[in-house]
Amino acid sequence: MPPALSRRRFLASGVAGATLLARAPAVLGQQPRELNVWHTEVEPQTVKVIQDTSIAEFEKKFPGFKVRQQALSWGDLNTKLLASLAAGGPPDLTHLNPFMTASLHTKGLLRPMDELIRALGEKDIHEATLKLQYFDGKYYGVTHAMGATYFAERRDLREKKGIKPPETWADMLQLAAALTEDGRFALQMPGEKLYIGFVHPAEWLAENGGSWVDPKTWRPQLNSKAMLEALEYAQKLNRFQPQGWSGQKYLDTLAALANGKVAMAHLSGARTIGYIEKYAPEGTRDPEHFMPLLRPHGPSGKVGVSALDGENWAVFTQSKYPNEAFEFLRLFYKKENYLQYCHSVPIHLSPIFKSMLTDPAYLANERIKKWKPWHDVMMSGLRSGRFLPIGFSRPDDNVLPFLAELDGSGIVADMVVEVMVGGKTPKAEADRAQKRAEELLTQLGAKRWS
Amino acid sequence: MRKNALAGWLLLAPSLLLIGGLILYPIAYNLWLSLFDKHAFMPVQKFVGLQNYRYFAGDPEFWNAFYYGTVYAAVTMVFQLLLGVAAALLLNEAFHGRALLRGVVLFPYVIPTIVAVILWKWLLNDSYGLVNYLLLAAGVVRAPVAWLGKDWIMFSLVLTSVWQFFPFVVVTYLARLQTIPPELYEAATVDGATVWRRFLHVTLPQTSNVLFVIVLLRSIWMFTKFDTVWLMAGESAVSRYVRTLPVYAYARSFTYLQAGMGAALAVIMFGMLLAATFVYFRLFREEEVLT
Amino acid sequence: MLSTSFKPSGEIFATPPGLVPARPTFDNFARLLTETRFLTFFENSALVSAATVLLTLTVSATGAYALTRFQFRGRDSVAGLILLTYMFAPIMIIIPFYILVKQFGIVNTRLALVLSYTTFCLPFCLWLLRSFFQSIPLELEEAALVDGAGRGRAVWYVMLPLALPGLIAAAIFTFILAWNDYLFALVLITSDDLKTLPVGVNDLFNATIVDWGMIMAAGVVITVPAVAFFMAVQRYLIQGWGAGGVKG
Repeated sequence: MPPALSRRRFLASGVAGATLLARAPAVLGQQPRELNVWHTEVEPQTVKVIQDTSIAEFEKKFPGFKVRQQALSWGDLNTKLLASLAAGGPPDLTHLNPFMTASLHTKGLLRPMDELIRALGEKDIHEATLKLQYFDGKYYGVTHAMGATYFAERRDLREKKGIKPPETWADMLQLAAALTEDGRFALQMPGEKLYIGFVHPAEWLAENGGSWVDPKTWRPQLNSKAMLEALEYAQKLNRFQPQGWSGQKYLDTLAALANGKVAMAHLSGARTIGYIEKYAPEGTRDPEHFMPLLRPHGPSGKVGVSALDGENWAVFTQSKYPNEAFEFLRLFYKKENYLQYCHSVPIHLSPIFKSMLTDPAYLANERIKKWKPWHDVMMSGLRSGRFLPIGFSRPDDNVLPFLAELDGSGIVADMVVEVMVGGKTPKAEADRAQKRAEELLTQLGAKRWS
Repeated sequence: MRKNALAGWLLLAPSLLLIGGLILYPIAYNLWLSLFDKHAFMPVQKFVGLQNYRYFAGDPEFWNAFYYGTVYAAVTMVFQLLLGVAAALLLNEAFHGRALLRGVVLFPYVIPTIVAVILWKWLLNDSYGLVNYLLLAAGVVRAPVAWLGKDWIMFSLVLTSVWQFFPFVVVTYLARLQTIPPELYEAATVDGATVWRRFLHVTLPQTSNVLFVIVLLRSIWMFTKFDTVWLMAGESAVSRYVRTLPVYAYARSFTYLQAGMGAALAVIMFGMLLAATFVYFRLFREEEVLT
Repeated sequence: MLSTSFKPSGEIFATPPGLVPARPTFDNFARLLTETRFLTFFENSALVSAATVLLTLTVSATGAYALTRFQFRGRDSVAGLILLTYMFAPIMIIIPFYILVKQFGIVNTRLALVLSYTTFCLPFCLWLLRSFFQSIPLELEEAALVDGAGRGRAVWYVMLPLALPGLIAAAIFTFILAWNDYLFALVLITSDDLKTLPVGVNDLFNATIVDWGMIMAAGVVITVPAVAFFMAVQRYLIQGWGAGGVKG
């Protein structure tokens, strides 16, 4: 046989052989069963904690199983989730945005988890998150951790000017004007579509007596008085931001706050602390200089609202190993494991259990001790109802099955950006957005108004 | 030339299998799906015929995306061509360090898109980017320019895209340049031709084939380009100012969650490219290059 | 990019941005290798890319050979087909592709990536190698056959060496595509230890605290081997792509 042909054959058979070898374990039936767990906490230390605590304990308890955790950003999670759902093979357990959960539930894609909730202690779970995925009398999700958001401000700068914390939007504009000087801007908003086009508009609506849609007819309210006032507020506030804010990201605003380019980060959670510790000038890395500031309310509203970050775990109807998924969650929320999990990004990942929030073992963490005022602001905010889940304009928005699509369509984002960055008139843009939103909801089959 | 048809098909079989299975099937799937109304979460769909297409014909967002997509493809292709050809002509001349320069020129094409985008977003950042610092220091501008903001984002995107892909043109064109017989140039010089005339009368005709293919391929690839556009500004507030057709198609499927409509957009893009290619071939009649 | 990778954290945001680090440090590189799974990503990318190049070359070479040395109906229309496959935006292929891959049971394997990259490179490589083979006179092969060599030997010892530039060109194009792909690696791979470089680097970018120093270090480490490899073989590449475009 001529050497050339045999060499080519060899290559070809090599590929075929490799294919066979890859499938062999499946064929031989010796492959361990895999529990697929997807989540959005991409910090390396959190991934490690999950691996070392919950996964290790789970694999010891269920020797035939291997847990495959996947940490993804929201955008990536969305893409993969869609691909897997289309193929009929979603992960066993995943994080979901609360505003997406209803959409999945109404299509019958989620499993109830009442037993798990009861095992975790219904009464111990904080009210702010307990009923978020409570549909038709059953629980379909449980929040993995809570993270309050607010402004993060240079408290020392504001106090030097003698200005009180702003209570109304008008106050806020005055504060912004006062803090913009010497090449420094008062604030910076995150430039991502999700925040400026969904999270913040939801907050503005909530703190100005508005809502995404009429609660009964589901008719969009994008050109309502509440929204128009919000757009005017945003347009005015824009003057006190660096001009290129729309091209930067949320994390850039935190860096800008840390190194003094702006006096306030418009959206901030406890992640900001990490930036302060890393990039702020020496001597300012403490709560005397950097503090959270709760949001003001609008002219038509009563109390300021900011977003409560907290994805919920969910198990699919089509999940391959649902029982094991629930078992995993039990281990995840076990006190020793959960404590370490929350400590991996302190304060940003706050426990959902009321008992843990005041537990000395939890509070003994170094960072929490140093930055205790931040934790306290969250606690007081929770008590006075200053937080709503991300994207919600009212507490009952959890049942709306089209928030994910509304956010994804960018209709609201386009409106806000055209007003803020494009300088267009709010009324015209709001009317256009209203028309597009009505069209979208009709296409999705959610039209209940006439 | 052996006329053994069977052996021929056998040897071709693996290629056809892979292409047929892994590309043609998804294309067919999209064609089929575009005729349905399907929510991206659900494995079921409702037949609606050409409704999705009719919708897009009247959708301002679609025409917006078409405009941005075509502008993006055309402008980037033209500049990739000009820059690439110029660089190739330069690198065709002998000088010290030519080999090194050739390697450096290829750098943008070699790195992953994510790295290229990160790099340019870093440079063009209005607060701490190098570009603004240099411009301010040189006195060219008085205030930092918002390169990634509404007014300049398309420009920045084009800049990044041209930088990223012009090496393809360089390499392809340079290769052809190197095979042009030097006698042709000598003859022209003897006839008294200037550099420009030599280019017009010797270089251009000799490389017209390659140019034809380069323009075609780059146009197709820039028209369907997704990665660079999305990574640069897809999730940013200013995304609507660079919302090209591929981005809009992706959005309809993955964020509006309307999979049937996204598929329809993909099919529309495909149809547009088919039509454009057909016209292109008719105009320039270079079938010999492909057969 | 190079200079930022050597700067310590405090310096990175300083205004004015300095081109040369005041206190250069290898810290960013060290942390890249120890705190993240960069080496794993690198290994995966390398394996997948190498396998893709091997598979693509084999399949496209045989296919191109068939297209040039054999006469059969439909031969020329296959050439047109090649162009057609590139007109469909890859982004829309991903979901049906994923469904297919799932049905074959090879989700979350490097094999799935290799197959998908091969498929994307095939059309271009087929076209490229076909042009090459066409430009190699048949007489050379016939001469070898006359001298008593078997067909296989004739191909291996006569034709392939002449077509080497074309093969290298195809190899480089394939390598770059496989090395740089993001979308398919994202969707088809679900476990952390099989992730490739582009996906891994993007994770860094999306992490809590964007560590610019580390990201730039990653960028440098990704680029340097590719560029070095490239500079080494660029001689062949240029010859390769050139001859491919020539007719006769």
